[in-house]
Amino acid sequence: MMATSNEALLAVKLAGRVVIATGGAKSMRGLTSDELCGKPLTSFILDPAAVNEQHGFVSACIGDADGGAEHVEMTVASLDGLGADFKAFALRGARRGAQAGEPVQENQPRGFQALIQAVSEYAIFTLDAKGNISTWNAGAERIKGYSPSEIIGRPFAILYPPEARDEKLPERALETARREGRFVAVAERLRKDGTRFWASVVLTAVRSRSGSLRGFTEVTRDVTARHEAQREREELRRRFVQITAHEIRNPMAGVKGMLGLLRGRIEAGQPAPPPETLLAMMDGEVDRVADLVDRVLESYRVRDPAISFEILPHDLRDTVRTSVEPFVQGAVDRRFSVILGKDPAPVRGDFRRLGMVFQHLVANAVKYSSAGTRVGVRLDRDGELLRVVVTDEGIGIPAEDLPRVFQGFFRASNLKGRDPGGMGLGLQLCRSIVERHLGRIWIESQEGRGTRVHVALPRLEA
Amino acid sequence: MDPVLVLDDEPVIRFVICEALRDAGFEAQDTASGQAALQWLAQGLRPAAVVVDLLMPGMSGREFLEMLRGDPRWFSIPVVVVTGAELSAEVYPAEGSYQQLVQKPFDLHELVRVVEGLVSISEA
Repeated sequence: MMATSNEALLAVKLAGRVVIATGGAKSMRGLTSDELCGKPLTSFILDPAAVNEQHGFVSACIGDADGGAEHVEMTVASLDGLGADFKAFALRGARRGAQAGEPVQENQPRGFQALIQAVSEYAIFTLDAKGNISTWNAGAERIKGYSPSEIIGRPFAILYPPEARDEKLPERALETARREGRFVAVAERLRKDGTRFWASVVLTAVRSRSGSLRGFTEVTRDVTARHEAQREREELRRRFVQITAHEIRNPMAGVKGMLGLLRGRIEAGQPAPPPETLLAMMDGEVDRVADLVDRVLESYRVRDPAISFEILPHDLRDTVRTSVEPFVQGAVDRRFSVILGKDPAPVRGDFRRLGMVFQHLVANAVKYSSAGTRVGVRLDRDGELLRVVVTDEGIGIPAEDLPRVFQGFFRASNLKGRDPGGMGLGLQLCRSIVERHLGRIWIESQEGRGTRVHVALPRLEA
Repeated sequence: MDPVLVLDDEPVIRFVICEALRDAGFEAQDTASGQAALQWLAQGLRPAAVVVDLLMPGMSGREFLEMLRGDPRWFSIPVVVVTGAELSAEVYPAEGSYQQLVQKPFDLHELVRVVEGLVSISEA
């Protein structure tokens, strides 16, 4: 870290404790960097008012090791963008102190600039009072793509997307920082190559001792990943509400309707529908709600490492056969082709839960295909793996939806408001179960042509 | 008297709505699919009103209403939408394609009153 003998940089975080101190602090105060780090700032700077300064230029008294005191000029920069309560104190001995009215950069010791310059995780740059870029650190170059020579001197508005410029957002940001001291936002910004990213921005006005505006500092963080994750979570929550609302309200409407019908008949003195019809219907509706709760809970349970599976050796052909048989024997109008082979297919696994996987896959194949089409289930040995492939000739899954089908509550876009029934939890459950068995599940699909789901599980070696 | 057409993929809901309408003196006819309903209409069925669910397998309620309102013969049939869905742009039927929306679970007698009100307007 560069620092001349009468310059020091202190970075302060966590309730005023020093986290970085440059070598200059030693000559000023007689304490090494190690000795200073972790100490409260008040052990170094004696003026409480100066310690509480948020940003700007102040003079302060610092104590030295011999109990003496020295007068210094300080530049205090609030670096909110670096995290809560992060401040930098740049100190310059008053003996060779700065004159009032010097430009902002010249008032900062080189140590300070070196620190800022080296930060690559954050874009940190300064603007002059008109909003033109005056310094540009490594992080700004990395995040935004401009080298210092390309951007210094240009208006910071070029970092905004065109529609934001049309709405005069850059001017409004400067105005807010000018009026209130700082401007904070999470918004889209533009890279040099024209691509966009989500930025967390803190723009701070820098004023001289006399209060005149010298310029601005901006700290920007690329929060695209966090932003996307948040959007995804919101989307998941929206889908959860949408699907559970529908799946719970329907059986409730059935039961409430039956009760309403019964009440109406009793009040009118008319004969009620046969009790067995009423009971069977209400029973069925209540079971649907109970099933729904079970399915939601099971989808969480299988992802919980604390829930143990009943792992036993068995033949995967039995698992597949048992789960597929009800469909083949039932009244489902599909042409089933089930090929399990003659060779044993030994696995170690939870028979019931692996069965659920194949039930779900075949149920999906039936649900998303029409009468008369073929549904295939085939088990093959694939080296050290056993592979089960479930094929249908149904509506398929649009390519853009494929990466998300294993998320809970997902509905493919080609359903367009049609109700496939259920919670949209099946594939998520399948993946959790397969992964708990150290296996893998993946999907190939062509919209309008059909879907092929592969399940690969480790073969139990004799 | 023209029947009220009840279109919902949930058999219990179809049953209770039809029964309650009959108790109130209506005739009721029900089906689980939009395609079947459109076929009946094409064959000359003139319902006094339609009660329709939105989220159904095959043809959705919204698609059914688009077909219904796209044909001048069926333009003036009053429609009550009955839905358990949280309404989103995806499932919401076009404005003007229905007269009333009832959220599931509904009060059966309230639903019957809604149908009575619409039928009396369309007959007036």
